[in-house]
Amino acid sequence: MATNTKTLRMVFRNQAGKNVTISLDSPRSDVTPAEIEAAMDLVIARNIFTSSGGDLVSKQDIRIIDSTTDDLYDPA
Amino acid sequence: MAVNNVPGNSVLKLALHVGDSATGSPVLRSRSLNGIKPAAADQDLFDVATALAGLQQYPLNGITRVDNSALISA
Repeated sequence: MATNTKTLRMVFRNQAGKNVTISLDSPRSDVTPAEIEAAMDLVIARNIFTSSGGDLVSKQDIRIIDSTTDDLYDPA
Repeated sequence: MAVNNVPGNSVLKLALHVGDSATGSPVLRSRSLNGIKPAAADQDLFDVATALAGLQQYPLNGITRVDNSALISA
Protein backbone atom coordinates (compact mmCIF):
# COMPACT_ATOMS: atom_id res chain seq x y z
CA MET A 1 0.00 0.00 0.00
CA ALA A 2 1.38 3.39 -0.92
CA THR A 3 1.59 5.86 1.91
CA ASN A 4 2.35 9.51 1.47
CA THR A 5 4.13 11.65 4.04
CA LYS A 6 5.13 15.27 4.03
CA THR A 7 7.89 16.83 6.05
CA LEU A 8 8.53 20.50 6.60
CA ARG A 9 12.23 21.23 6.86
CA MET A 10 13.27 24.60 8.26
CA VAL A 11 16.96 25.30 7.94
CA PHE A 12 18.61 27.93 10.11
CA ARG A 13 22.17 29.18 10.19
CA ASN A 14 23.97 29.35 13.52
CA GLN A 15 26.73 31.62 14.81
CA ALA A 16 29.38 29.29 13.43
CA GLY A 17 27.84 29.57 9.95
CA LYS A 18 26.60 25.97 9.98
CA ASN A 19 23.12 24.84 9.08
CA VAL A 20 20.72 23.62 11.74
CA THR A 21 17.52 21.92 10.65
CA ILE A 22 14.21 21.69 12.48
CA SER A 23 11.84 19.21 10.84
CA LEU A 24 8.14 18.85 11.44
CA ASP A 25 5.92 16.09 10.11
CA SER A 26 2.56 16.64 8.45
CA PRO A 27 2.58 20.36 7.73
CA ARG A 28 -0.86 21.81 7.00
CA SER A 29 -1.74 21.53 3.33
CA ASP A 30 -2.61 25.24 3.21
CA VAL A 31 0.44 26.49 5.07
CA THR A 32 1.97 29.55 3.39
CA PRO A 33 5.66 30.43 3.04
CA ALA A 34 4.96 33.68 4.91
CA GLU A 35 3.58 31.74 7.90
CA ILE A 36 6.60 29.47 7.99
CA GLU A 37 8.95 32.44 7.77
CA ALA A 38 7.08 34.14 10.62
CA ALA A 39 7.47 31.03 12.80
CA MET A 40 11.19 30.85 11.94
CA ASP A 41 11.61 34.53 12.78
CA LEU A 42 9.96 33.85 16.15
CA VAL A 43 12.36 30.94 16.77
CA ILE A 44 15.30 33.25 16.07
CA ALA A 45 13.87 36.16 18.10
CA ARG A 46 13.11 34.07 21.20
CA ASN A 47 16.51 32.41 20.94
CA ILE A 48 15.61 29.28 22.91
CA PHE A 49 17.62 26.84 20.81
CA THR A 50 21.30 26.24 21.01
CA SER A 51 23.47 24.05 18.81
CA SER A 52 27.07 22.90 18.64
CA GLY A 53 27.79 26.08 16.67
CA GLY A 54 25.95 28.50 18.98
CA ASP A 55 22.64 30.33 18.66
CA LEU A 56 20.46 30.29 15.57
CA VAL A 57 20.93 33.61 13.83
CA SER A 58 19.30 33.55 10.40
CA LYS A 59 16.96 31.70 8.07
CA GLN A 60 18.63 29.63 5.42
CA ASP A 61 16.07 27.47 3.65
CA ILE A 62 12.49 26.19 3.80
CA ARG A 63 11.47 22.96 2.13
CA ILE A 64 8.43 20.76 2.14
CA ILE A 65 9.44 17.26 1.18
CA ASP A 66 6.75 15.00 -0.17
CA SER A 67 7.58 11.32 -0.14
CA THR A 68 5.63 8.30 -1.23
CA THR A 69 6.41 4.89 0.17
CA ASP A 70 5.28 1.74 -1.58
CA ASP A 71 5.17 -1.13 0.85
CA LEU A 72 5.47 -4.10 -1.50
CA TYR A 73 5.70 -6.98 0.90
CA ASP A 74 3.98 -7.78 4.16
CA PRO A 75 4.45 -11.17 5.78
CA ALA A 76 1.11 -12.93 6.07
CA MET B 1 30.02 15.74 50.26
CA ALA B 2 28.54 18.69 48.42
CA VAL B 3 27.08 18.19 45.00
CA ASN B 4 26.79 20.74 42.23
CA ASN B 5 23.73 20.79 40.01
CA VAL B 6 24.85 21.72 36.51
CA PRO B 7 21.96 22.39 34.11
CA GLY B 8 22.19 20.65 30.74
CA ASN B 9 20.20 21.27 27.60
CA SER B 10 16.44 20.93 27.95
CA VAL B 11 14.01 19.21 25.61
CA LEU B 12 10.75 20.71 24.36
CA LYS B 13 8.07 18.14 23.58
CA LEU B 14 4.99 18.78 21.50
CA ALA B 15 2.13 16.31 21.83
CA LEU B 16 -0.06 16.35 18.73
CA HIS B 17 -3.54 14.94 18.61
CA VAL B 18 -3.52 12.82 15.44
CA GLY B 19 -6.86 11.07 15.90
CA ASP B 20 -8.90 8.87 18.15
CA SER B 21 -8.58 5.15 18.73
CA ALA B 22 -11.45 2.71 18.21
CA THR B 23 -12.29 3.02 21.89
CA GLY B 24 -12.42 6.79 21.70
CA SER B 25 -9.23 7.64 23.51
CA PRO B 26 -7.01 10.21 21.85
CA VAL B 27 -4.01 9.09 19.81
CA LEU B 28 -1.09 11.41 20.40
CA ARG B 29 2.14 11.75 18.51
CA SER B 30 5.07 13.32 20.25
CA ARG B 31 7.76 15.47 18.67
CA SER B 32 10.86 16.29 20.69
CA LEU B 33 12.92 19.37 19.97
CA ASN B 34 16.38 19.06 21.43
CA GLY B 35 18.97 21.68 22.23
CA ILE B 36 16.79 23.99 24.30
CA LYS B 37 18.74 26.36 26.50
CA PRO B 38 18.18 25.57 30.19
CA ALA B 39 17.80 29.30 30.86
CA ALA B 40 15.05 29.76 28.25
CA ALA B 41 11.90 31.36 29.67
CA ASP B 42 8.73 29.26 29.87
CA GLN B 43 6.80 31.93 27.98
CA ASP B 44 9.28 31.80 25.08
CA LEU B 45 9.09 28.00 24.92
CA PHE B 46 5.31 28.16 24.94
CA ASP B 47 5.17 30.78 22.17
CA VAL B 48 7.63 28.92 19.93
CA ALA B 49 5.90 25.58 20.52
CA THR B 50 2.55 27.14 19.65
CA ALA B 51 3.94 28.76 16.50
CA LEU B 52 5.59 25.55 15.29
CA ALA B 53 2.51 23.47 16.05
CA GLY B 54 0.45 26.02 14.10
CA LEU B 55 2.28 24.97 10.91
CA GLN B 56 1.15 21.40 11.33
CA GLN B 57 -1.96 19.61 10.33
CA TYR B 58 -2.79 18.18 13.74
CA PRO B 59 -3.93 20.19 16.77
CA LEU B 60 -1.58 20.65 19.69
CA ASN B 61 -2.55 18.60 22.72
CA GLY B 62 0.15 19.61 25.15
CA ILE B 63 3.60 21.09 25.59
CA THR B 64 6.17 19.53 27.90
CA ARG B 65 9.43 20.99 29.07
CA VAL B 66 12.01 18.44 30.16
CA ASP B 67 14.90 19.95 32.07
CA ASN B 68 18.09 18.00 32.60
CA SER B 69 20.91 18.56 34.98
CA ALA B 70 24.09 16.77 35.83
CA LEU B 71 25.02 16.12 39.47
CA ILE B 72 28.74 16.58 39.96
CA SER B 73 30.53 16.28 43.26
CA ALA B 74 32.11 19.56 44.27
